[in-house]
Amino acid sequence: MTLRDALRRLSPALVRAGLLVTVVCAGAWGGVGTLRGAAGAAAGAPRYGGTFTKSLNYGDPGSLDPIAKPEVAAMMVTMNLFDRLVAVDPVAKKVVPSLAERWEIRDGGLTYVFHLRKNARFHNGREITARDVKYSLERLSDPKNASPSANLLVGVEGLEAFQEGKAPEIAGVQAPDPYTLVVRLERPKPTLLMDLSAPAAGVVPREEVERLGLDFGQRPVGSGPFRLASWRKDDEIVLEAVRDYWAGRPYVDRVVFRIMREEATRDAEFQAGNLDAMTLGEAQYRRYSNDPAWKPYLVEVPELFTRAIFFNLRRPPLDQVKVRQALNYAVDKRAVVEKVLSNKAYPALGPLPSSSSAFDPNLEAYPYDPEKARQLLREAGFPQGFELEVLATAAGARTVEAVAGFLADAGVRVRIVRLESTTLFERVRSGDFQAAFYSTGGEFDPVTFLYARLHTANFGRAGNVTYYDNPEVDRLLAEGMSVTDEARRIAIARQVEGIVTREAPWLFLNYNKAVVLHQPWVHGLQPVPTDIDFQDLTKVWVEPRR
Amino acid sequence: MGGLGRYLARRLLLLVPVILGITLVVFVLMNVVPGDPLYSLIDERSAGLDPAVAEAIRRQWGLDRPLYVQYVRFLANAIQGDLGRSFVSRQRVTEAVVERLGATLRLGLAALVVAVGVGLPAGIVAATRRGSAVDAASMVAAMAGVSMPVFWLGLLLMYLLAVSHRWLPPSGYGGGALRYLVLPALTLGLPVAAVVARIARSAMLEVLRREYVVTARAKGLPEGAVLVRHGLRNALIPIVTIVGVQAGGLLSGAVVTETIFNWPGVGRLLIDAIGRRDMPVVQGAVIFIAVLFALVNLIVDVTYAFIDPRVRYE
Repeated sequence: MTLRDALRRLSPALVRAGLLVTVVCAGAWGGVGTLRGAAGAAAGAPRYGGTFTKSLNYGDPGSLDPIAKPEVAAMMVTMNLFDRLVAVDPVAKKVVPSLAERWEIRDGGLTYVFHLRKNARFHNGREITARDVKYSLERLSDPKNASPSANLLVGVEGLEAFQEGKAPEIAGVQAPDPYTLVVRLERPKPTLLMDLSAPAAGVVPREEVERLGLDFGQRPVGSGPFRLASWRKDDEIVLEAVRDYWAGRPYVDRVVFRIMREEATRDAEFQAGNLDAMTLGEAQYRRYSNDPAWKPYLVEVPELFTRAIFFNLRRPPLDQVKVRQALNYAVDKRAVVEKVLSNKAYPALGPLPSSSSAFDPNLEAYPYDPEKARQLLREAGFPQGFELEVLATAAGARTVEAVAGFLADAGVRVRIVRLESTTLFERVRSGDFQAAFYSTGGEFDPVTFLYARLHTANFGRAGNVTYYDNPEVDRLLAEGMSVTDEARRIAIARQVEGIVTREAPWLFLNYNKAVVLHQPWVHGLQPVPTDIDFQDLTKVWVEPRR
Repeated sequence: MGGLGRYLARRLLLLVPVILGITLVVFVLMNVVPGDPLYSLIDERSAGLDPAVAEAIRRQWGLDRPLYVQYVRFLANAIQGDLGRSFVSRQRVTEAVVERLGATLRLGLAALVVAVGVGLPAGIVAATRRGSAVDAASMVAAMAGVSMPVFWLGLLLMYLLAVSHRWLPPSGYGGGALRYLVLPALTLGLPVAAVVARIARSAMLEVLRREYVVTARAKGLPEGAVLVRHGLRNALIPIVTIVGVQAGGLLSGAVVTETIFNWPGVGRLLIDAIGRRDMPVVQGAVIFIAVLFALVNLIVDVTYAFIDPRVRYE
């Protein structure tokens, strides 16, 4: 009997065995299949009721006081518990009314008059007045309360005197009557409305804060569309819809945030149908985006984050623009995004992410050109390349390894130093680094974003960690920080974007893509570019399951 | 029992320098790692922090004082039962730990039940049927149990028992429902069961060779009585020792299991606190775990007296 005959005789058995294995496997994962069967393509009209369960990927928030440390884990909860004077619609990219129904800007941008709505109440039932807003802003700014966001209101008249203890109140924040709040500025501040929409500016009821003291963050009382029902640390936070909320009742009755740090656990819970939505990591994104059954249930957005290798311009040879440009030419960013980041990112052109209002898609950027990179290095006096030390977290190191491969082709030998993130940021802030890899951003306003990171007034700790120094950029950004006209500000941001891209203080690698996966019965999740976890939960609704 | 009372008092008193040493080590370690603890209070988003405000925050938390003053102040408060407040949540540290202590103890005890309930019988059976297929199988299983990473075992159990077959909930505390306890307890307990099985087997083999066992058998005592009264009783000391050591580990080393199964225990509090450089919480959680560990060891030592009448406490 020849080998071919043997195979032919065996083949039916092999096919049967193969089929058996397939059937068994399909059976094992059958649970997932039945879930998909429930996919209601026709969403229909929104409906009230039900519970929406979402994972909280970054651990227990610790404190739900709006003025506490602004961690994503806390903000994604507090923004539903507390109203601010105004809100931001990050998808439409504009400031919208909230507790203030409307406002006027007077005196050439120096005075803001806010008119509060009359039907807004705290969760304890008391009506909100302008005095509560004033109290909340003073509580935020008071150094005694040690809020990391204490300087949110910089530029408001009398803030410094108040913070130094020379005045009992912020002179520039006044409540002439219960429904009017007046904010006076020392100088025009185009970002004032945006700042007042920050979670840290959440309005709190004085009597509850005084009653609970430092424990207010454990039992927060706000006025938002949801109130805190229960919070079991490191387990789950349950919010309950406020039925008589001024903007109308939220669709869902309850929101459950399950505190789950482990990706594999979230996967298991999602497949078991216990999670309605979860924010995805790279490996998960690769799996679900390649699965036609799940692809329709992905919500994707380029977030306002730029991932880059930040150079310390005070460390040679990174003080030479040709060297920095060479590094940008040397890396095939598209390949890194595809192969290492599983396409869960967009290749970067310059400092501003593509979701920014000032992003310029026609920016003259750095195509992958290893020959040009080598030539620039030769011109800069490094025909043999040099050694580059890059700080990265354990998670980031994988990407840097890929980048290092490309840089090696240009002769640049990368040494990766793996650090825990707190330590990495501390070294970067204190200037103790040559190059470092991380994401920066989350900033809605492009001028603020660029000013904090590239103006010489912010050297080091204040945000310009690369010690980028360009008088032209300084002048433009200073102008941008005082101009109110939005078109002019965007023009300025674009001009700065062009200069900074050319001078390459960073190795612009990619803009982050954030992805939420939800169950077929969930509707109303939005692609929020500031952070996809900052969902407006009043828009979410769920179909009854089966 | 005057001897035992004095012994207990002495042991408990000995805890004081131990805890003092631990707090000192943790304090020094947390302060020598690079990075200003102030910046654990702030993050990348609030890049531009006014130096005056930074100073105020530093004063507020007492971080402007020299290290030894901070340490002495911490000790003075700790003696009064006040472990301070978390940098991040401002919650009382004692409250934060106590909130999670119940879950940790529950998981630790359940895992101990799994460890002893599975490990001890397996070890005894393996010893009495030395060289048989049962012996070989249980020792192979024990070997696998010892060498399998907890992380992998946990996920394997989760996918097998909760995702493929919907027998158990994949994760969570479930408000304390027993179903939620099974998977994490198995994950935490099975590797320990493997250790217990191996120790129990070799201890039993050792004892079963002794003359008094041979004598007991020769007397015509039933095999069961021989095994339990003469065999197991004498083999128990090494077994209890290893169970004690492992039990301490169960209470403190549950971090991975707690993370995988979303179990709201002290381990996760500690991990988060380390990541956020939240000094007061790290101190507090470590102290609680250390005290638990010491207490478990004390219980083990006291147990010896009940197993072996020759053990005396002076």
